Amino acid sequence: MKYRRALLYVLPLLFPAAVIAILFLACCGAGAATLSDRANRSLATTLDAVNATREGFLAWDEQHQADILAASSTQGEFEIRISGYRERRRAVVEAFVAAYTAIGAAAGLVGLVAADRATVADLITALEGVADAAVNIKRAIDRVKGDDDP
Amino acid sequence: MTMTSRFDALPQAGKLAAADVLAFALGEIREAVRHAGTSRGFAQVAREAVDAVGKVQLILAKVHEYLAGGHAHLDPEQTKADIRAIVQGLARNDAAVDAAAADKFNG
Repeated sequence: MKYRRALLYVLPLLFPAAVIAILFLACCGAGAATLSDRANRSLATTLDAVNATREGFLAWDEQHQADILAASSTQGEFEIRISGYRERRRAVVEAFVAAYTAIGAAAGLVGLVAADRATVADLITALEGVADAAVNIKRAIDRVKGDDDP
Repeated sequence: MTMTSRFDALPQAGKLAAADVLAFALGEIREAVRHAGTSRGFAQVAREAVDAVGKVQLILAKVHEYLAGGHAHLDPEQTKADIRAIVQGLARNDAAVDAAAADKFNG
């Protein structure tokens, strides 16, 4: 549990690092082989950051739902508040799904570029999509945290 | 190393990727034969087929190199597992708090 809570403080630092790594990749004029290596490293970094963020959000969600229960004095009040929170939480789940899908698609493109079946421009576009998806997770989490204060 | 033994040495995910590029390359071979057959002689057809097979070998070598080097997410099953992890994790949290609520209000 301590490990999961610690992630809550580390994660905000991981996202900018991943995004910067990907934008660096998008801006540099490396050759195809080097580009594939850098793309793989950037994707691995982003995947680690997204997975760590997922664990951090799960820990926060667990505590937040417990806080909602503690702050509810009747079952009816609890049901209204918890269902409202879970509805708002769907945006976070959708952001995670989008990010994992984008990472998977970009990783597939790395292989296709290596096999000369896709262009470097395709790969850079996909990596930019991964960066956007990663940032959207943080926005969605910040939004649901801002909306919920039991 | 022959092409067959190179293929056999690939992990399962690599075999699938290699099969995919093979299908692509075989399509190129068919196209080369069809095109050459209508406008050029047998020797030209043979040369283009050999060129196409060379492309297949090159692609297979690149697939093998790519797999050996490691990568983030070749297997689509991994993406599904990552998505399941967030969905199932939240479902576990929901079930736990629902049980606690039942204890608090009905227990």
